[in-house]
Amino acid sequence: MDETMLLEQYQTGEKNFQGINLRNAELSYADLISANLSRADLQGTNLVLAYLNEVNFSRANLMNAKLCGANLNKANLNGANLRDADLQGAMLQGADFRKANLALAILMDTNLIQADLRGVNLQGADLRGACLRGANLRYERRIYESVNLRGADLRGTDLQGVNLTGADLTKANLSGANLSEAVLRGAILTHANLTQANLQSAFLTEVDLSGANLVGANLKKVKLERGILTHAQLPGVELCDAILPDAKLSHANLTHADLSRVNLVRADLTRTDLSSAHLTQADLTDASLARTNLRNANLSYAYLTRVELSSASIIGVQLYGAIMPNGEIHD
Amino acid sequence: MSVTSILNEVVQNLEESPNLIRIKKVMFCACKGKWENDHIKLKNMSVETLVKELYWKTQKIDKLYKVFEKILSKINKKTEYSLVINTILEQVSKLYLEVKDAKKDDIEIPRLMNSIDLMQNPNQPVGQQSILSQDSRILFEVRFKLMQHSNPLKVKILIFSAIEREFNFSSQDWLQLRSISLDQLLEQLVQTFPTFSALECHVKKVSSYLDKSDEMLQVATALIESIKPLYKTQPIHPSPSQDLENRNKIAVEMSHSNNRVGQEELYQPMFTQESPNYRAVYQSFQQSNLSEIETLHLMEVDGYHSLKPFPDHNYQLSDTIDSDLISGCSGVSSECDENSDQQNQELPDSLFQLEIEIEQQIHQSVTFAISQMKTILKDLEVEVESRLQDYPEEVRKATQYKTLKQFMHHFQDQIIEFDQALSYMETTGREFHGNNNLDERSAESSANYVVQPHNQNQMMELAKRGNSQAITTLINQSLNPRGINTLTTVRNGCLHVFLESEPVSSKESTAQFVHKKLIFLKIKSIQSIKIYGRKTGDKAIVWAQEFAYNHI
Repeated sequence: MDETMLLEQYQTGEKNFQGINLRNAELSYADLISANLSRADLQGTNLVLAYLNEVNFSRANLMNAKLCGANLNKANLNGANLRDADLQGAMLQGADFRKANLALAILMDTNLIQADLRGVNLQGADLRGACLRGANLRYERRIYESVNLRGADLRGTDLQGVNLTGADLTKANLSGANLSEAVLRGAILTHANLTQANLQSAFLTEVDLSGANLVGANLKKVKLERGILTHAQLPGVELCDAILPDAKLSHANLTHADLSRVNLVRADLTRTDLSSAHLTQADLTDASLARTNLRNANLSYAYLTRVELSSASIIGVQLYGAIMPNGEIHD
Repeated sequence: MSVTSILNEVVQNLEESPNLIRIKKVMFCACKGKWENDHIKLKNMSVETLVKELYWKTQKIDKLYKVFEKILSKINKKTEYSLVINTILEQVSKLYLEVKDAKKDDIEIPRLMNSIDLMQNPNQPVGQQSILSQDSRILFEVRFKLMQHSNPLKVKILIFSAIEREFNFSSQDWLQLRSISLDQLLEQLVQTFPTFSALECHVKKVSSYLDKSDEMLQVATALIESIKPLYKTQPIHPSPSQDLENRNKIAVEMSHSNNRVGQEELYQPMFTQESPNYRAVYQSFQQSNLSEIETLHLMEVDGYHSLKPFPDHNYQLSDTIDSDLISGCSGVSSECDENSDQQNQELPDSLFQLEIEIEQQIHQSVTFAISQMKTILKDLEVEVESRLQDYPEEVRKATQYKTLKQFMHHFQDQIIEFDQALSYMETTGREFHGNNNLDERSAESSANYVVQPHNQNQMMELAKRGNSQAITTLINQSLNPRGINTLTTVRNGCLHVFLESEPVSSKESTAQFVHKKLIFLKIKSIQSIKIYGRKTGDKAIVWAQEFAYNHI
């Protein structure tokens, strides 16, 4: 079967094209709305600006396919192979990508609003400027593996409120991305680039941000309970009103950071660089501050109950009104 | 250093520029307020006179800057011309007093935004110097809205075409489109158009010119709707009054409806009553000597985007606009000089305001003409009805429709003739004379000219069907300003294009250009193209290039 036959048959009302072989076919601008192309072999096919709304592509082979600007709203791409496919500017709103392989695919500027991306492989994919609001990327034990976004390019991607629980974002580039109110519970962000990213009010419980670069990021009001931030680069970041109890911040760079009203109860701040940081009204109860650098930090009105400060460098620290380890108020 | 030596230096530097013709074009436009495409005239112009005139017209650096900004917002090939303008600014600004002072204080001379800078450095953190950097959240919201209402790729193509050049689906364009994200395109778009209305106007025009214009118009509408918040956050262009703002809005709205046939109803309700400031506008229109009006013609400069502000609907030409007005529109550079001192003081502002007023004026006239038309059509209908009373229903209806259609056809022909006459006068640069009326001239010129469909869309349609004359005209639109004349014939599915020029144009660039242009047309009946280059007036072909023509 070739592309003309396919289109002719589609014109006559036939919708079932399961398992057809149309490798490298020329189907740009084609109208195949709600056709059934499950398990079809469409490797390298040109579907630029095609109308593919509600098409069933489940388990189809779309490797290397060109789908730029295609309309795939509500399409079923369950288990499809989209490795290396070019989907620049495609409309994928509400599409079902469960367990699809999108490794190295180009998803730049795509509309992935409310798409179901559970168990998807997006390793090394280009998601620059894509909009994923309301998309589902959640890890579900024994059903869906965590989403693989290792090394993915997510610069300027809109992930507001997206559920990325357990996602693997190792070395991903999230610079300038919008992650406000996103759920990243237990996500792996080691060595990720989060410069200028907006993480305001994000849920980062148990997240692994070790070695991540967060320069210029907005981390206001984040929930980072038990989060791992060892060796993370956070100079000058805004972390005010964040919740970080039991967080591991050893070796992290937090110079000049705004940590006012931050909850750091039982946090591990050993060897953390907090020089010139603002820690006014911060709660450091039971925190570990061994060899912490607090030079010129502002700790006024901070809670330092049961904190061991003897090995920390506290030259130039402001402690006005702080509750000291012995329970006294500093004046 | 004495003033004369600086002037000499500036003139010399400008004359050495490879873009001299374009430099002259822009400077001439800045001085006279009209666009000159005649290469011989341009060659004969002295750079020194232009520099001097420009200096005396503007006197202050910010005024100079404003004038250039205004020109840039009107013309096509913005990237090329922003380079040209930057060259001019770099040189000419040396003459201005403030710059000399500024140099001491290390103040940066204003530079016009150059989209190429951004295009070539996509990795450069665009957000940092941009006006939007304060709140990137707005940009995310805009994108969210935009993506829900239109195809992101089409939006990208539209913006690309609006700020860079026509997207022609070549692999090079695809690569360029991939290198730049929608965010960056949106930011550039906002930076290129300082006012929302200018953006709205330009985007709509570009969309109507692009392939699948109805789809693109829908994309444009979504884009305009979604991009609004980006304009609310930044200070709106200084406007003299709220009133102007409103009128501006109406004018822009109407200019869109005018671009599309059959939308007369849209703007009719707005002018059922004569608006109070109409008189005033009209009078100021007559009093001012209107070198500014010429800038309206800037829309029709040499780029292949040559978009006519008002492609059809020239109903008003014959009766409503009186001859004073027409004479006002003509090349009045001599009169202009006398009044220039006062006028050029507020050139950029009044230019903008006047444009709006003129646009409004035109729409008043169109509305009037349409209402007249409606009466005529109704009368005609009643007339036919009464004469055919005894005939059966079908015959009556059929005759009625036929009559009305006939009327429309004749009317259309007449309008095309007017349009022809107008463009004939424009191209030959003839002076209007107040006592001449347009009818005479149209008769005269149509004798010399074969009546052609002038409307750009109509032309594109014809060209797509393989009409060689239409193809010739379209290619000529872009090549004539470069001194290249085109001849085309179609034989056995092969399009032969002859490019005549003196000296012979370069094979690679011109052939590629024509090829690209033709690809964009998607001519259905053609399988291959042959492009030949030869000297003007010489039969011998210097080079030939063949392309397979398979439209995607």
